Amino acid sequence: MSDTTLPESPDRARLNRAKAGDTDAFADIYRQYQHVVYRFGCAMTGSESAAEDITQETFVAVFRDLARYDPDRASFTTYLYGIVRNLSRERLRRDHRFLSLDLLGPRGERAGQASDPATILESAQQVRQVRAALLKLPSRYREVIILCDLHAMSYADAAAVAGISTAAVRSRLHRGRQLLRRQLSRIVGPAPCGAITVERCAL
Amino acid sequence: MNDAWRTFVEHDRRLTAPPHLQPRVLQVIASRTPSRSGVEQRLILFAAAAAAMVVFMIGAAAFRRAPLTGIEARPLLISVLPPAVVPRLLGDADATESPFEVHPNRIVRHEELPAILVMFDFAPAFDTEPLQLVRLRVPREALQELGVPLLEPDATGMVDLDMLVGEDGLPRDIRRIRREQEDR
Repeated sequence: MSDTTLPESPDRARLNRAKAGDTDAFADIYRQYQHVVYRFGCAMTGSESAAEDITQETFVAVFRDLARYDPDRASFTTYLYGIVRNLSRERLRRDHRFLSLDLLGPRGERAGQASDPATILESAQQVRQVRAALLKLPSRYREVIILCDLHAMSYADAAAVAGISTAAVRSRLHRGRQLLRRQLSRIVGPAPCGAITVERCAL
Repeated sequence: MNDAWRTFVEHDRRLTAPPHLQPRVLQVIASRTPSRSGVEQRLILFAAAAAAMVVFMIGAAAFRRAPLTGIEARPLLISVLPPAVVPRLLGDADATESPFEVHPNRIVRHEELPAILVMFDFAPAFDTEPLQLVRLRVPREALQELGVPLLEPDATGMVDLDMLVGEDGLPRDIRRIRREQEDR
């Protein structure tokens, strides 16, 4: 659904240098993966501040446990997604009684290339609406939608990250899309008759 | 609805971690020591636990070797008790024949037991010396021989005492402890 592509796994030489405590090598890894981790945190929590915390905790955890990572067992991307997923879920459990104040609308420079204020406002509203709909989903559905639809991850990789079977990923994705569509129709309003069909719908 | 989703996807694709986060993360990482393997961590934990156990056992052994057991008790008891009973107390006779009992909680605080305090006039006065309060159970006759007669009737013939002992092992002061049964 999204044309984003996952970053390539870092080469083993860089990983080994990072494992040995080379902070320059680790900084390269951070620069390569920070946006993936941050985006996942944002989408899961709906909060920029929470996403910052998750990003920091993720990379600190990666640095701490990098010695345990075995490239032969899983790709670095899958390994990283597993960590950020766990930290995001932990954060959600911890903060479930709090209501985020920054239901991420695009701000300032992130609002896109449009220079028309009306377009910017409309985009910001749409982003907020989808974000709100996404946050209403149970996290087990939300995470597979984020992994497969936003981060363009394959079912097999998403299954490895979530620790479930590929069939379960398909099932959760199907059910999650249905729920998201229902939430969106409540928030945005029902689509004009005939304008959106299941086949044509991006969801 | 589709437009909203597409806008959201576009927005999500442009998201990156704020620039101030990188130095923060790298600073946290730089402040940490190089990661240790799981085996190393377990070894360190095991060594720490073993060291703690050794310290605890040494402490427990030292606690059991309180002043009234073994060699440490000799000067105090010799100085207080009649010569006839000292050899038996020091282990030269059968332990069951010993007329003395030492309370399990020998060392007590001053404020616990109000009693009359008798000062030994032969003990030198050390104004600043550290003293230890020791609790004993001794025969009444031992006190009489020391010139501290007890007039109250006592069916068992044994009395409980608190004794202030100096660092040289000599008693400084002595007082009688009233047992709870006597108080009733």
